[in-house]
Amino acid sequence: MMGLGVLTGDRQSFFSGLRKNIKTPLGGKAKRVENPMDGLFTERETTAEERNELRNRFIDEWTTLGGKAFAVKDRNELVQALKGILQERNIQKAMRWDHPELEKLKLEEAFLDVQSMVTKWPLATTYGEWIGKAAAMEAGIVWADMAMAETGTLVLPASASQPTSVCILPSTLIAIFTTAQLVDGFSAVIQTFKKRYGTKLPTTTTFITGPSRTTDIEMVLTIGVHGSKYVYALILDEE
Amino acid sequence: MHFEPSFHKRYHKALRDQAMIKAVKLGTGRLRGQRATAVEAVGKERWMEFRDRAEAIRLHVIQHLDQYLEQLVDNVLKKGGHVCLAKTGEEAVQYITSLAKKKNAKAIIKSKSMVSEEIHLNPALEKEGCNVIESDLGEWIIQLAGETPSHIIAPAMHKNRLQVAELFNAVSEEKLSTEIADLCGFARKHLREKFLGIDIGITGCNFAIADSGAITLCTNEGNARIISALSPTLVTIMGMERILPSIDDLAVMLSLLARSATGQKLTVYNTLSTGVRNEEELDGPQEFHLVIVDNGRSKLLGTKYEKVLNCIRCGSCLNACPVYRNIGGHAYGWVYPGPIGAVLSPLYQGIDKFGELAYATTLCGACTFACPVKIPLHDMLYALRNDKVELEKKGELAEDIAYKGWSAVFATMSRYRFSVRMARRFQFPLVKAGKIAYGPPPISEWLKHRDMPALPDQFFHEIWPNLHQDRKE
Repeated sequence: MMGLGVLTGDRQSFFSGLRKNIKTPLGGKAKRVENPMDGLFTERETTAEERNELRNRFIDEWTTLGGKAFAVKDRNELVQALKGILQERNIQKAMRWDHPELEKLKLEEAFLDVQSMVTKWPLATTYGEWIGKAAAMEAGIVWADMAMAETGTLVLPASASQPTSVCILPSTLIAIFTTAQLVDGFSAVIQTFKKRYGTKLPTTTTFITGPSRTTDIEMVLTIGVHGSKYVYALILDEE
Repeated sequence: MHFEPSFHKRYHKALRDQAMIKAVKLGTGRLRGQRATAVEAVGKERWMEFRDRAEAIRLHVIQHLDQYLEQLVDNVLKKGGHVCLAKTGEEAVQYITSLAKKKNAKAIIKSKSMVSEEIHLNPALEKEGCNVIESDLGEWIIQLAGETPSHIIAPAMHKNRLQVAELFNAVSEEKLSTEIADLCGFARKHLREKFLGIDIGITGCNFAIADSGAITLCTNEGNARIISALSPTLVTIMGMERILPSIDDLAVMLSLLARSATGQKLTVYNTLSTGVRNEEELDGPQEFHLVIVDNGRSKLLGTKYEKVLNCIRCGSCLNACPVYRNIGGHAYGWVYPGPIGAVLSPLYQGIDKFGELAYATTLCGACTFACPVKIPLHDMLYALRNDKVELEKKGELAEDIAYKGWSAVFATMSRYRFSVRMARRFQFPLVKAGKIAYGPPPISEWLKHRDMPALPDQFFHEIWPNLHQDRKE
């Protein structure tokens, strides 16, 4: 059980100062916007057919951002696609989330013939041990929780077996999900999060929209300054 | 970075720096174009709805700031995070430097934080023997140059690749090419090594979420994401106004922020984090400190400038401003440049020091139109001019006499006509090539940069009777 944090500073004086300055304007204070997303985002329940369209939209967006995305029919095709990526990028060391769907793929065995070694998280039990190993990894393989088609965004809530380091440290990120996990945009993600977590959010959720980019030198777009240089999305047909 | 105290001297210096002006015009032009394309794609009507909604969210939050901040503080503490309530910049700096000393921290890596610039955190940490490294590429470039950001989202906008290569060569063992991809490659390699040996990570905060005690970090490069994953101790510094009630408000703001800032649909890495990692987790901070900074913000509550606290630091007002585009960021003399800086600097640092910035505007309103949260920036700049005059009471008597005289003369037709005829008759010593070329102060100052035509041989009211007669015939 996590302990309570410590507050530094005079709370009473800090907030009484604030309250003293806040004024109620003529006509009263601005009311809380009850449903901030209403009418601004696409809101709907999707059918399997509509999700196929969303898949195409995601692929378009992801590709425009500089990523590569492929639709795959079944798990065999998925493993072949993964092998293709490892070969294309000449990847010898990869790490992956400890996720039940990734477990089913038996990647550790499947990758032997392409001479790539995939290691399941955790790589070690202490920071001193895992950080060096993680830094040497060329690819991270994750199973996305959701994917937003309108923006080409992966939604990746972290947990002990699914840490953010796997998505951010290697230069190649490979994210897998099924068409059933595709949503239009923020509306469905926020609704799901509210239902699933309430206000008890996971320690970290990362929304990734394409490869790491910068335009800090002469406004020229350059890919991969800190995070992933190469980002792949493999979208499996839902069962 | 030392700034010349006179705005007049600062902008004259900037106007002479042609390389900087070229770079700033290129950068702001690109960002403006990308934003326009993004707005077009959303649809202008829907974009206006987004702005209205965002304004309503921000107004509500600012008018209930005490409640949301209390909720945030309680939720962060409940999740095991530590909170520092800093009334001043000095208190925030004191807290962070003490923490660094306590942790015996040597390697401190930062992601972009405008508040940390505002409170001069880096020099204070360096004084304690810490090696502080900025990890955002643009921030690292200006750190190596010993400068402050010249743009809110593109801090090194004023630098070209040759200047960047020179700065990088000073820390590189090998001589680097001036290719941008090579320069970025070097930054990745160099900074990655630093990330792996991090003692304390320091980030800014795009939005804090009150009901879940979460912090949102938005970076395109992924540096803040790496810092929050690898720092054993993580410090997040937030201006106390950067707060939202819940994650559905966040969805609106993130959609607006990226489009307004760079024209992207979303920033590449948006991280929503509740601070301390769980016992079973191996990455993420073991210790989390949220430093909530007032530093002059609370005194704006309930004033005519309250709405400036709506700002989400997207930088779109800078790109829209014809003055910023011609003088760049350093001419503004403090941390925040452009129209938002011209409002914030006098309000945070004093009208006596930065009141001149209220004149760094054409009052065209482009900044107000560009602002995603509808801050009436040009109205505020106009109000600041009034406040400056009120404060200084400078030349009040002379101005009073001049305006009363002007009012008396222009109040009746006969006095007006008599005065302009007299002016026409006696203007000849001041006229050169059809223009008023000379005059006593303050007219002489005005004439240095502007043309004023001499009074004509015939006034309109003198030729009108004939014209009118001709039309009748």
